[in-house]
Amino acid sequence: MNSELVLDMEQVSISYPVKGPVRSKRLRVVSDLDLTVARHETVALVGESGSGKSTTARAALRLLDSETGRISWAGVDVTQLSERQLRPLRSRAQMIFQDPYSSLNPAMTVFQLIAEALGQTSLPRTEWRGRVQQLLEDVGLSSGHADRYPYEFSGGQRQRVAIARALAFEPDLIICDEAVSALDVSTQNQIMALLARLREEHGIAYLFISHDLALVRHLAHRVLVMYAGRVVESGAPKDIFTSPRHPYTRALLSAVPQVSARSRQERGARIELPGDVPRPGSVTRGCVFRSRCPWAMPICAEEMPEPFITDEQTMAKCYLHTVGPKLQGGSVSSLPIPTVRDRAAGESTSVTPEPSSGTLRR
Amino acid sequence: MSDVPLLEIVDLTIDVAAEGRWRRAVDGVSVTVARQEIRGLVGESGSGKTLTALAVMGLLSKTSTRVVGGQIRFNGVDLLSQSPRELRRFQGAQLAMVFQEPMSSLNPAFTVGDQISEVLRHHEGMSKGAARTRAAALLNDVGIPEPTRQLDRYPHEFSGGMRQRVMIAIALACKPQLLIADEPTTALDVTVQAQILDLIRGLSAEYGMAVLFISHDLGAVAELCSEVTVLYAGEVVESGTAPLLFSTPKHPYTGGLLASVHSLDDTSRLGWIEGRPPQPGHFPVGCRFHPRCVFASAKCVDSRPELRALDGRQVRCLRAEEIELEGRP
Amino acid sequence: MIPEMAPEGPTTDEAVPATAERSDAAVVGERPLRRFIRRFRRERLAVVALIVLALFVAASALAPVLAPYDPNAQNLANLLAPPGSEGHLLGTDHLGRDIVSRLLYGGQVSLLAAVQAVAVGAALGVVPGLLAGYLGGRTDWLIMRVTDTMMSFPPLILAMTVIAALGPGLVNAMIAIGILFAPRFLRMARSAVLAVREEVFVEAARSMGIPRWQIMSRHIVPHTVTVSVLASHAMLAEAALSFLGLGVQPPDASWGVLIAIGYQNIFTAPDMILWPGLCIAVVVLAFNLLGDGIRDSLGRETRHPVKE
Repeated sequence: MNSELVLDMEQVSISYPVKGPVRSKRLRVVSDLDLTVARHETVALVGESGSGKSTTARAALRLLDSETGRISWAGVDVTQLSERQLRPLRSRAQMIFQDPYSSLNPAMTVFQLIAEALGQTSLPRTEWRGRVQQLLEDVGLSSGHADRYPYEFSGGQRQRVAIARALAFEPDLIICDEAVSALDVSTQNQIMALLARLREEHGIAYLFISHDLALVRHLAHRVLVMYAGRVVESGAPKDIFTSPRHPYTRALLSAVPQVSARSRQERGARIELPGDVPRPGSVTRGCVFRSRCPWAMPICAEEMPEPFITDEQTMAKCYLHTVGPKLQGGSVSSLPIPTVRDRAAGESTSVTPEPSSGTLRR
Repeated sequence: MSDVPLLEIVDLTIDVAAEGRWRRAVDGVSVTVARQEIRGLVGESGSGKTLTALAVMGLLSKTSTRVVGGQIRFNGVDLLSQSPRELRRFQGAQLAMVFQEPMSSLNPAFTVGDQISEVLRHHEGMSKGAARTRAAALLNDVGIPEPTRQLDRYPHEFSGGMRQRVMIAIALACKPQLLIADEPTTALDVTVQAQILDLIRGLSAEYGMAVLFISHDLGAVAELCSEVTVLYAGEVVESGTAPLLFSTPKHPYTGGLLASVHSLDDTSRLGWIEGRPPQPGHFPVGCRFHPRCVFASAKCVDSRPELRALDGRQVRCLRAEEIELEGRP
Repeated sequence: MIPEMAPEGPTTDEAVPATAERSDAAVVGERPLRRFIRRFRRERLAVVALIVLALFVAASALAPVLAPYDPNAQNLANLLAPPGSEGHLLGTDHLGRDIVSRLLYGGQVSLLAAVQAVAVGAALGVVPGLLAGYLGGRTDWLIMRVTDTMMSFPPLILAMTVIAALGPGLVNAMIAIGILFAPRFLRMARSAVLAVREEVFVEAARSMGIPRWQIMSRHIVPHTVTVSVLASHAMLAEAALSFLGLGVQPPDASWGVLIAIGYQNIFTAPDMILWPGLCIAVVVLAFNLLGDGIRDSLGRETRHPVKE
């Protein structure tokens, strides 16, 4: 057990039960996930809708049950613990939620909200006032805000309150589940700056869930890219954003809108991904990205590829590294983008196309 | 092709009812859209961008808004002086709009095919069969696979990106000359957003259609638009071609917006503009941006700048010549 | 340094609240109770309703003082005197009893009955409703099926069945009506719990190690306050039962009984049925308006401001 890891998720799979006409099925939404966050580290989990990143965040905090795998907080295995057993441990890992308008109890003042958190710590009640003031100042609000209600604040301010509340626990880890997505860009950046400062001052580790790759670039030491419930690539942002090793990452990067004309030129052509993300549980064999991958090969239909590890933090799950072009950890950007006809030819032999709603557009 | 611009918004002034009083929300805004041009209308909350768009479409609320002045000339005809019946001939036919939330804009009780056909039958008097055929063709044009089968599906059976495509298909049904898109990609995943932007670009070329693209997302605007107008506190603060504005902005607000855009490349930092945009009724005196402007000087506090030509664009700033702004070339 | 920001209410970072609470949001740091009172004051109809109800309650409470006669005192010499007769503002009934006095004392009974019924209903319904909402699953399913069954009975039949078991009389009638209402309270409590249970702040509290019921309890109370409307139903139900002779027993009066008597004498003294009828109608209306006013004053904060 590595207590240097504030969060350790090993081979975690998560399913949702769904009621069927006869009996209920379980739909796999996250499969075989490995994720670690070390002390003081900031790890970003990026993906689009349906990738399973929010589900992963909740499972990390045991707000959801996972089907398989092991989850540990700072060395303590929390996978099987009951709600009651978890309670004293919860101060180690806190979460900031996406919607600033519903994550704060509207019937409580800011003071009460933070005090509720302090009540879970060992701080004596007499010191609560002072501590709340201190926390509010830490996050850039004034202590005079303590007796106000959430509805009186803007979205950005509410998130600051949420952050102050999380800090009250003095946690090792704060999970930010799209914590800034509901805010305008200016405010997003201010909150990111706050999180960066708090990281310096308090040594907190972050697990940052986001769909915005450009945003996480600034804060994250390591990025994990998720697609349809699996981590398909991981690495340092600078590295994987310039030299992606998985086709999905490359496609994702090519789609991010760029203000700078120069960047648009350097980026090159956008990679079209026909169809939609596969529904949970619909891909039972082979690589989960196969149906939309421009470089799909016959072997991709057989089994989900094992991680190809370049170094301690860089990994990609793709056969392109061992079969076909045999990139061996090189960037996928070096591959030419196949035309429509090439793709169809490559897939016709042994790959059954996904029952997707996609065809290739011109 | 005629010289008359397709859309000319001239000095548009709109008041909104807020806290029991009428407050100016759009203050003398002028925007021009040429034929087949794709123009971005950029602004944050309180800028008046959506109100402007709704005014063009004739969708302003009669109870809580009132147009106080200005003209909206479409092919030379002032839409503001048209009767509701006359306006309806334009709406959906020559002017069409796509909104942000495709789920709430589509009627959940009707099939997608019905909703497209409705527009066709109303404006072009098509028969049921003809409308259906055309609807299928439209779904194909917007990139929905197996269009004939999808006609009989309901909105909830589609994903967000697909729904937005359906909305666009409805908007295109009567081959409008102008498409107004109000934050059409904000709620979508980045790969889907890229597809929709490509789609709009392609359709504009194919149909010869102009687009007024309203957004606060500068990245999307930069990808799609050739011209840009920036609104702040009910006024145009900068306007010109997109490459020009984004590489060499002249208004501090534009510069501030550019500084806060997230970018994948190495050189950018996460900047921001202090404070929050003012709401109607609370616009500052003097230059409306001055409380948030790092370049604000004494004269900015009490003098109102006029919109004027500078370096190939229009800008509303007293100090535009003196200040250096970092762009994103 | 992160710059300080003064709170400015729901004029948010990113959107204009299109339908903000008018100037409701303007008052800063206001406790929920004061906000409720402030809003309630603006609900004109509800305020009037409250005053009217207060008058009726006061009149009934002061019946011993206000009533000119003993409501049960018969005066066989002066049967069915018309309104405006000497000494009897609204006349007398078929046994010579003063109508005004009977209205006043009857009001006591009717109003009290309504309160009792609501209390019984709440006592029987709220706790199971909370449990059903909170626990969900099989418990919820079971409780709801029982509730559905009860609600599928024609209400008066159900009440009469209970009374048949317990025997006639006012108290039993009120218990019966209470049982009748319990399902409504149950559903109200349950939906209040359900509405809150899925809120993100409940999940947030859970992530902090706070038990869910603790957070939810702060929210259930406002939802169950629209009791007022049910009081009006209770009053009507009492009137119905007493009319049928299953509620208040003679010689005691309630407005329902007075209606029954008025009904029996409708050809000889058609006005007799009017007075208790009016009282019931006005009080029921007042309860309803009050309930509406309370509900509107509680409101919900604009949680998701509309984008510009």
